[in-house]
Amino acid sequence: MFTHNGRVSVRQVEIFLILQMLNTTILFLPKIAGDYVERNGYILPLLASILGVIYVFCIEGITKRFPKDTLVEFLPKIVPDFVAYIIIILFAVKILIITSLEARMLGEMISQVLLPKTPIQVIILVMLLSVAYLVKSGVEAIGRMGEVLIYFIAVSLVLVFLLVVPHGEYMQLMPFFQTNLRGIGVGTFVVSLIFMPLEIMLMLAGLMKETDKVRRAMLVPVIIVGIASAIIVLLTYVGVGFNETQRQVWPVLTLMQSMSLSGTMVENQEILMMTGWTFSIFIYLSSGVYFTSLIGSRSFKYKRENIFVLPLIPIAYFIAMIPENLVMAYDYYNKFQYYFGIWFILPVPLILAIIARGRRNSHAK
Amino acid sequence: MQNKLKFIAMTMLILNTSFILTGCWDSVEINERNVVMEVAIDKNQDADLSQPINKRDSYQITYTIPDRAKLSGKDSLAKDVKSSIVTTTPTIETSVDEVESKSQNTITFSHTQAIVLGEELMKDSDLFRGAIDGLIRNMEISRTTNLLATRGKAGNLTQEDNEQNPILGLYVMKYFNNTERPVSYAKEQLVGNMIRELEDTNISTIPVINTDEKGAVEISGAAVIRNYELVDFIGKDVVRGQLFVEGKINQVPIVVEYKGSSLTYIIDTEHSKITFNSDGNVADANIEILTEGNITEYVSTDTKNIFSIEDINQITILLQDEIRHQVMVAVNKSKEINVDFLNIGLQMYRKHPKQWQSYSQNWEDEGYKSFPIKIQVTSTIKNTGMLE
Amino acid sequence: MKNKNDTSNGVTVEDSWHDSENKINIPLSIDLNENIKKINMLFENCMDIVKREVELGTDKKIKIYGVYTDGLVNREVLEHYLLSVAFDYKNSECEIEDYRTPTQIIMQHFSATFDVKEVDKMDDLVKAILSGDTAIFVDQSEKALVIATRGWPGRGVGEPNAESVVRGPRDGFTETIRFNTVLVRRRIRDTKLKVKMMSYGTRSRTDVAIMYMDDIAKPELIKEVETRLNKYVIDGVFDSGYIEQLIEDSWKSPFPQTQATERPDKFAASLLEGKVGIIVDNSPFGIIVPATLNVFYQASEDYYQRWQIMSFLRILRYLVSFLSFTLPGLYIAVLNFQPTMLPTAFAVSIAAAREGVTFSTVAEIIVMELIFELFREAGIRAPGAIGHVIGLVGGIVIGQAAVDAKIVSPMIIIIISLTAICTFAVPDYSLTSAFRLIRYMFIGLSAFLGLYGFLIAFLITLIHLSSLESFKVPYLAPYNISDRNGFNDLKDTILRFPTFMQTTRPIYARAEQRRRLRVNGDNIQDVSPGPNSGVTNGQVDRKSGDETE
Repeated sequence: MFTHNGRVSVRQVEIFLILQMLNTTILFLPKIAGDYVERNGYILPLLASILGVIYVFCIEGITKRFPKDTLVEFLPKIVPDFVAYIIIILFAVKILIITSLEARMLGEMISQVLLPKTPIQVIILVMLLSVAYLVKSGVEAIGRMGEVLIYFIAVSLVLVFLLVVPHGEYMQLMPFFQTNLRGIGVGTFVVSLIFMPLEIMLMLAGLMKETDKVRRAMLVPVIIVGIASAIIVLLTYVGVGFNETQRQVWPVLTLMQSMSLSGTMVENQEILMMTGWTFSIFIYLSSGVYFTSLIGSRSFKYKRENIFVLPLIPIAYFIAMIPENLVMAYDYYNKFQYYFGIWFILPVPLILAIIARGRRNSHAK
Repeated sequence: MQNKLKFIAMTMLILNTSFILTGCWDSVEINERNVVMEVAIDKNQDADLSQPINKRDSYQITYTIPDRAKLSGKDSLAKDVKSSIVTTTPTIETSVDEVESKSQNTITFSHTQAIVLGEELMKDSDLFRGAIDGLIRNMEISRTTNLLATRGKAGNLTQEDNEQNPILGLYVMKYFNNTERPVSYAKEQLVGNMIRELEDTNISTIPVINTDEKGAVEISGAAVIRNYELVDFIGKDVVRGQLFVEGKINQVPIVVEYKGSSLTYIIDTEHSKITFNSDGNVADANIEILTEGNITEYVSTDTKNIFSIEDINQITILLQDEIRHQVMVAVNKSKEINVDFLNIGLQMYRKHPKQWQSYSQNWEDEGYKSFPIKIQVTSTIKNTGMLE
Repeated sequence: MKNKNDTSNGVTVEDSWHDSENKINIPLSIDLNENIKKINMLFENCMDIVKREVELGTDKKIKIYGVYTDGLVNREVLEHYLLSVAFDYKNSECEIEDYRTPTQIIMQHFSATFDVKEVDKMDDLVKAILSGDTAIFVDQSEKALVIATRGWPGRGVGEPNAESVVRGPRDGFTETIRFNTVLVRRRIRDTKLKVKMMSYGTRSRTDVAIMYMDDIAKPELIKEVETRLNKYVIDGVFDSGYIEQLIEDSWKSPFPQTQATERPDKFAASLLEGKVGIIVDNSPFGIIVPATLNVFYQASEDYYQRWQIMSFLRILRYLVSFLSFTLPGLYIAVLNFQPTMLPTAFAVSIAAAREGVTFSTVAEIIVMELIFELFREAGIRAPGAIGHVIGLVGGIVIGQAAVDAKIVSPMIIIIISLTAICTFAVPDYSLTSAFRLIRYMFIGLSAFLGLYGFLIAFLITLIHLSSLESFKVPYLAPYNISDRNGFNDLKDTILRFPTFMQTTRPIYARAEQRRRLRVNGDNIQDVSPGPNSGVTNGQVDRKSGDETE
């Protein structure tokens, strides 16, 4: 009826992508945006959505040619086998590294806000083990989990929204549009890397029930996350102040801290809001581990898709522990995203699509 | 599949049990925490200046720790409801370390309600900045903690007896949490907010807390800070003017003389707006103030009552004059000390960024002092009460 | 004690008549004496079995041999309507020619009851005898007769204890399967309501009825239920709990994956949603599959009372059920790790109350939780009135004394009691049992990692629930497959929508049978009940014009 077919619905994919995009990057997005366009940072996510739409078309351009196939299956059909394997290995390594760094960032955050004395190793390991527990249940369970978690995340986002909006200092946004075009251009590109999780659609599109709705499944998250992150940037500026945002390591976290709802049962509600964000990271990590293991099992043509899950956990853990301190982790995370983020959402799908089209034409002749 | 599940289950179980049994890193029982209610930070004037800066005991910090049982009305071994621990250390964190060694329980700042800054500390911008940084970097103290300044030593103030509430932090918490209270002489300042203001304009104000001659605690007036350095204390009249400019006045009485007796008008709501003559060149600023309120006190007789349109108009003019006068006090004071705590410059930057560029160079030196500011007040009387 | 029929290898003759599933596989003989011999052998030392040989008829005599179980038969039916008729029977040659077999003659003349059938297997016959029917062997016949004479002292239809309501029917299932199917049949008078009977347990031979709506339930679901029921061979089934645990999806899960109910109205309503019901003899609890988390929050009263109050109660149930397993963990996490979250005055008073208590908060919570579970267990097991005393002594005296002696802090008592009360507010008992267990996981992880641990515990619970399925329906449906069925399934979840809006059946039903309510007639616009939407909203019905008194 519903189960054990390893397929996900359009709605699940949409939610899945939204949760992925709301990852750690969101926490310092206001700062990144501010670096390029000063007080008008909130326009960057909106402009970046346009770039996001381009990524969507690139990825869809290649996946629609091979419905029900994942990257592992369709790549050898386009390029010679050894090139295909190199690309697949690079893709898997990339996903694994970014997942590990994300786990590290989560650990740093939790350690900063909730558990200052607990070793970060424990924090990361506990999270990775629960990720393994989810991932072993397969993509359907992840999809369903996302559908439930989105309620909690939506609630915490709305809570932030409701708390900041009445008390925000909107004068912070003035003066408007004092920026140069170059800043907007570069900034839009950098901010558009929040849509990097679109790359997993190279795998996920092959697991969807309705293959004709792949584009919709990607466009909806791009637009929603574009708007949501614009709102987050804006709220951070009005809540924390623009100059202070640029000074903070985690500006959105500071935003959560500077809100207070007096007279309630709970003080310091930032902790409640952090839970929503942690759920989002949890889905991000699960997806990373799941797709790396899926690439593995599909490449070796194992029937069981979760066979690589457990071996991956220690690997991810060790990668996460490579940066020695917060400053290094932060630097690695940003640089990795900056230099490697774009590859699998724009150039690779584009080149593959062109080659695929060329080969089809030559076949046609 | 089952083996894997078992593996995960076992790992979780072993991790769990072993950690629970060995104790957890961050777990502290709540009755083993000493909640610091207020922190008073002073400059240690006896510091040995010959020492290098990392050895010099620059800070004198007084922590007030209430006795929980006494606070909730029960018996306890403690002598007094509050105990103060004074430390002299080079940095804030070392003082936390020192106070830990003097206190029977773990120190926590989770519910610190007030930070009181001494006069001498505020005059030393390096120490002031260091103190604020030390407080917020580790997020031990919430960004929503109230910040207060005091004339003289902050430590003395927190150790004094306050008849209303022995714990100054609780006093401050209740004082500012009450939103029904009239806002007329003091403007609340939070740590996060002050940092934001200082980041934006380099200028901020901190409300002043002091005891009067009879020992009653009073929060009124403000300390004007520029670049983390105290410029001057301003009186409560000036703060009232500042509140008018910022549109934060609430439930404030204005008294004018009308036909030989005094008339009291309570402002219910107040709005303000700063505009600039924007004919290409900014020449002056115009502070527009709108008030709405009721007449609440006036002795009326058969011959002189205020229940006529004519009277109301006349009273309105009188009131507007009075408010303009009160605002003028703040404007004059800010020009006198040459600190733009009314944020005229910031407003200009936000509304006319291009024109601001020509002013921004010497705004702090001469620009503000010579910048013309006009005040325009519009008052509305909604009601005159039950009497004519 | 050894059977006198022992053979050398320890296998009795009687044993050799039974196959591996304990079914008797000997044939019925045409010779009555042979049959009597076999019956005597089978029921040797069974003093509750009544056997008698009777000769009937005058012209042409027919020998019959009746067997029944004493106490399981309704003697009145047996004696008045069977035996008396039988003894009065006078036959003649011609009659015999009318019927092909002797059993049919008996059937014809014992027509004082409808429920007579011919049986040709010894196994069915013995089962019928042991179920309370009367078996009649007829001489010179390969078939025997089974006459329904069941009737034993049973509990009448009473009010369901575990699921009582203020408004709604008061009848509940009893221990007799026939009563139970009747209670359902009375609610659904439709030929599409199918009752498939089977017997379960090689020795207990318990009757099991599978009930479903033939055209609403999905055929694959019915097939799945039958497959799972046939998966195991068990010796005895004494309650539906046995069946429940043998057909569920995941034995590892503490969560109930089938719904047990005492209420025939709930049972019938579930059948109309396309679910399959299983009723087991000797058990007042019917089982409904598939069961999702959501159904455990649906009390049958929800549909009988107004939707506003019931929506409110649903929200309350979800909230308190969440508290019932999280509250102790949350308390530890906040108190020991994040006291920042408590308002200042509250934190101070808790700290003051804990002054002098030597145990750690975690130990306090665990010990008090266990003590409470003890009271609860003792209260249930203790005979009758003593149960209340235990509650009183335990709850009030020990609680108060423990606080006074500074063994625990008063807040703990509040937390534990609150948790307990929250547990009772959820309509389904088996779900709260799961909550009672996972509560300890929350306590453990919270004690270990504070709020982060709490979060992890919450995630683990959610992961488990997300991967759990009941008869191939996701356990968290409709929350995590809400787009199925056009979001209509969400109308009966945290909010209970007004009855007229619940126009569709949930996903359990076949796709073509989803509509369960529609407006009768062509007036599609006026879907809400009553004129002017039930409230005088200033509309004027122009058509009706002025009415003259």
